[in-house]
Amino acid sequence: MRRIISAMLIILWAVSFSYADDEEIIYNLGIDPQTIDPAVNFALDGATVDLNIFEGLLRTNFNNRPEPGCAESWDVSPDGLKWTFHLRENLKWSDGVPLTASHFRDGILRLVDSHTGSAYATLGFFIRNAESFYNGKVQSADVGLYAPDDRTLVIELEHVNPLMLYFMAQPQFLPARMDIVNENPRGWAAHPETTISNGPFKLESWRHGPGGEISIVKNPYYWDSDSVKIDRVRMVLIGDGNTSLAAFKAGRVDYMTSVPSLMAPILLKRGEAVSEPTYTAYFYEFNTTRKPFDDARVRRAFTLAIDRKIITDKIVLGGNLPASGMICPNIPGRTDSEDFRTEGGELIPVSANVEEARRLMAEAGYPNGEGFPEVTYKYSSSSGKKLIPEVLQGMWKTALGVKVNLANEEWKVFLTTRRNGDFDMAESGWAMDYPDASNLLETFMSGSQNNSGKYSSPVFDSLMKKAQTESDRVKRINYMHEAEKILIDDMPAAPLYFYSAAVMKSPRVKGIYHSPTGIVYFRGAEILK
Amino acid sequence: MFIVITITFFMMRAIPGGPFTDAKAIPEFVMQKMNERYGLNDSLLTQYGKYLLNVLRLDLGPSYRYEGMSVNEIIADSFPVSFAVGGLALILSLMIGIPAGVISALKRGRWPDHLAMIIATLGITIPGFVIAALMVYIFALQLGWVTVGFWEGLNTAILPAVTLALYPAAFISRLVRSGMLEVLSQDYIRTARAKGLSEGTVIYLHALKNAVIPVITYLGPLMAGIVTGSFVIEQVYGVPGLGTFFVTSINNRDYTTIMGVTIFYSALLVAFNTVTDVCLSFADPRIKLR
Repeated sequence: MRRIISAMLIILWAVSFSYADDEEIIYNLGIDPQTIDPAVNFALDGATVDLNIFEGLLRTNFNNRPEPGCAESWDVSPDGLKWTFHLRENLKWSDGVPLTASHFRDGILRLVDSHTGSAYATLGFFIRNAESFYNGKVQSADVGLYAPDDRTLVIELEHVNPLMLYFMAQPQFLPARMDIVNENPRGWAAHPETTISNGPFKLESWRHGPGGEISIVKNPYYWDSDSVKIDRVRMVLIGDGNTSLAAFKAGRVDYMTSVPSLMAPILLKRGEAVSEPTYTAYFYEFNTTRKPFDDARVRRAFTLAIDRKIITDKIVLGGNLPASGMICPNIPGRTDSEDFRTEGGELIPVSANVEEARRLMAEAGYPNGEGFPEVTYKYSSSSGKKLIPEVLQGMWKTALGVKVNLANEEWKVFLTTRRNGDFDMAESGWAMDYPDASNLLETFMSGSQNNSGKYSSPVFDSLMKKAQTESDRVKRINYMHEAEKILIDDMPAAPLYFYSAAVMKSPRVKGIYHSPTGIVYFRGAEILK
Repeated sequence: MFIVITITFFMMRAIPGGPFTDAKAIPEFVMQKMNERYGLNDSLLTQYGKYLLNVLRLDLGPSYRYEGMSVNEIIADSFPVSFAVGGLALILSLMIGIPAGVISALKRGRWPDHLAMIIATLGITIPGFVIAALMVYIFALQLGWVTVGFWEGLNTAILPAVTLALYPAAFISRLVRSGMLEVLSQDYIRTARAKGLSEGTVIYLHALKNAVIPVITYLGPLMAGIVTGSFVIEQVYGVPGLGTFFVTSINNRDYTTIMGVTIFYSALLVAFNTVTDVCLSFADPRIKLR
C-alpha cells in the first residue's frame, strides 16, 4: 500500500511540472466538429477550424470585413454578373503542390454538387446554373465557374449578388483537391495526412471526444506565412464550461469563449473576462397561422408586455444587449462606417409598454385577458436559458392577465416540433453568418425553411427580393430598413436580446481575433515573451 | 443480443429529429440528398436488415456525427481509455472497499467501524459530479498538481479513477462488512479458532473467502459499467472515453453510434457476468456450473 501511495505521489509531482509549451496557444474549441470538410460542414466549430487551415479568394480581416486572400484583385462586369478573380503568384497547398484557379472551381462545384450532401448548397445558387446542376439538369461544365488559366477564376452569376465579396470569404467557398477528395470522399478531412489545406495553418492531429484536441501547426507554404507568428494552436475539446474555466485558471488554456453562464457576470465584473458582441439575436416566434396569434395586435401586445431590460440586466446577465429591433448593432448600414441599427433607431422600446399592450389586447377582443385561450410557450432546456420562459410567463400574467403554459423539450425534439409548426410560441434565435441584415431578415420570407411561424407578407417579401438583387448599396439598405419596420409592426417574432460572448484571454497572448460570427482567427496571434 | 439490437433500433428511430436536424433549417430537398448519402432514405425495415447484416460482419457502420469515422474506430479509440480509467478505479475500489469492510466488521460498534461506515455512506450518497468538482477545485486549482480538461495519458487518469472508485468502494465495504459479520458467527470460524490458527489466517484465509462472495456477484455488472466509462466523470475531467458517446450519440441522433455502443456494452455485460458466474462457482462450491 505504502509503495502504491508513493508511486501515485511521484506521478502527481511529475504532472505538476508539465505545463504548456511556450510556442503554442491553447484554445478551447469546446465542441468536437462533425466534419471539417468545407463543403459538408455546417457548424461554427468546423468553420473555425476551416478558416484557420484554409483560405478562400478573400479572407476576413480583423474588423470582420472581406479583404484579399488568395485572390489579390478582382474585376466585375458593368452588369455585375461576371466576376474575375486574379490569384496571387506562387500559391501552394500545405503539401507544396501549386494551388490553381481550378482548385477553387472544384471547391465551389463541390458545394453545389448534390452528391456532396452539403447543407449549405443553396448558398451557391446565385452562381449561373448552379441550382440546375444541383438538380441534375445540367453538367458541371455548364455551371458559371471557369478557370481560363492557373491564376484566373471567372464566376458568372444568375443575378446580381451584393454580398459577393462576403460570400467569397465564407467557409463554404474554399478550394478543394479533388485528387485527395475522390480517394476518400467522406473521410479525407478526418485524417491529418489527407487534410491538405492552403491557409495559415494545417492540421497536425485530431483526437475526438472530451479531453481530445485538434492540433493545427503553421503552414510554411501559406502566402502570408511571414505574418503568422505562432507555431501551433491546440484546439482542445473541453465541453464542460466549468472544467474549461478550471483549466484556464490553472494556466492550461489561453483563450476560451465558453464561459459558464452563471460565472460570466462575476468574471466580467472582476475584469477576468471581457464581453464581446456577437451577431446572435434571441427572439421567440409566434405561430401566425393559429389563433390567437394570427392577430398582429395580440403578437404586438405579447411583445410590448415584456421588459427586455429586466431580462438582460437581471436574468441572462453577462453584458447582453436588450433588443430594440430585429437586427443587432455592428451590422453595416448605408455606408461601411454607418451602423444598420443606429440608422434604423429603436423600433421597439427596451422596457415594457404595458398600457399599449393592454390597449392592443382589448382591441383584439381580450380586455384584461378575458376570453383569451390558454397558450403554450415551447422551449428547449438544452439551451441553458431555462429562466427566461418563466420570467416571460410572469410578465404576461401581470401585464395582460393571460395564462401561458411552458413546455420544455429535448433539443432535437424541440427543433422538429418548431419546424412542424406545432406551437403557439416557440423560443428561437439566429446567429448571422455574415454581417448583413439580409441574413436574418430573409428567414422571415414566405416559404423560408426557417420561418417556423409561417409568417407571410407580400410587401415584406417584395422588399427583400428587391434587396437581394439591388447593387446600389443605399437603396438596398433602405429596402431592408423598410422590411425591418414591417416585421416589427407585424411582429411574427418578438426580439428579446442580442447575445454577447464572455471571453477569457490569457495575458501571455495577443492578436487572437474573435469575430462576432463566433469564428476565432489565429493567423494574427502572438505570444508575449 | 438480437432482442437488444431490435428494440434499440426501433426505439431510437421513434425519437423525433434526425442526425442533420439543426437550429438552422436545411431545405427539404437538400435534406433528402443528405439522407440519401447516408442511406437514411430507405425504408426502416431495409435499414434494419442492412444493419443486422453489417453487425454479423462485425461492422458497426459509419458515424453520422463524426464524418469519416466508423463506430468501430470510435470504440477502438475510446474504449482503451475508459478501460484504463475504469480498471484503475476497480482496483482502487477493491483495495479500499475490502480492507475497510473487514476492519469495520472486526471492530464492530467501535470508532473504526463508525468512521468507515460514515465515509461509506458519504461515498454512496454524494453524487460523482460533486466529488469531481471538489477534487478539481482542490487538486487542479488550489494545489495545481494535476491537469483537468486534457487527456495526457495515465497521469490524467488518477483523479477520474479515484472519483469513479468512491461509490463502488463504499458499496463493497458495506457488502464485505455484512458478509464478514455473517461468516464470523458461523461454526467453522469457531472451529478454525479452536484449532489454534492465528487470527490473520482465520480472517483472511477462512472468513474473507466466503465474505467476498456477494462482492464477486456485484463485480460482474460493476466491471461492465465502470470500464465503459461515465459521462459525468469524462465531461468534468476531459477523459476521451466511451461513456460520453452513450449520451452524446443520443442527443446527436447518431444512430449507428447509439447502436454500436449499446451492442458493445451488452456484449461486455454478458461477458463479465459469465466470468463472474465462473468465478462464483470456484469461490462457492454450492454453485455448480452446468
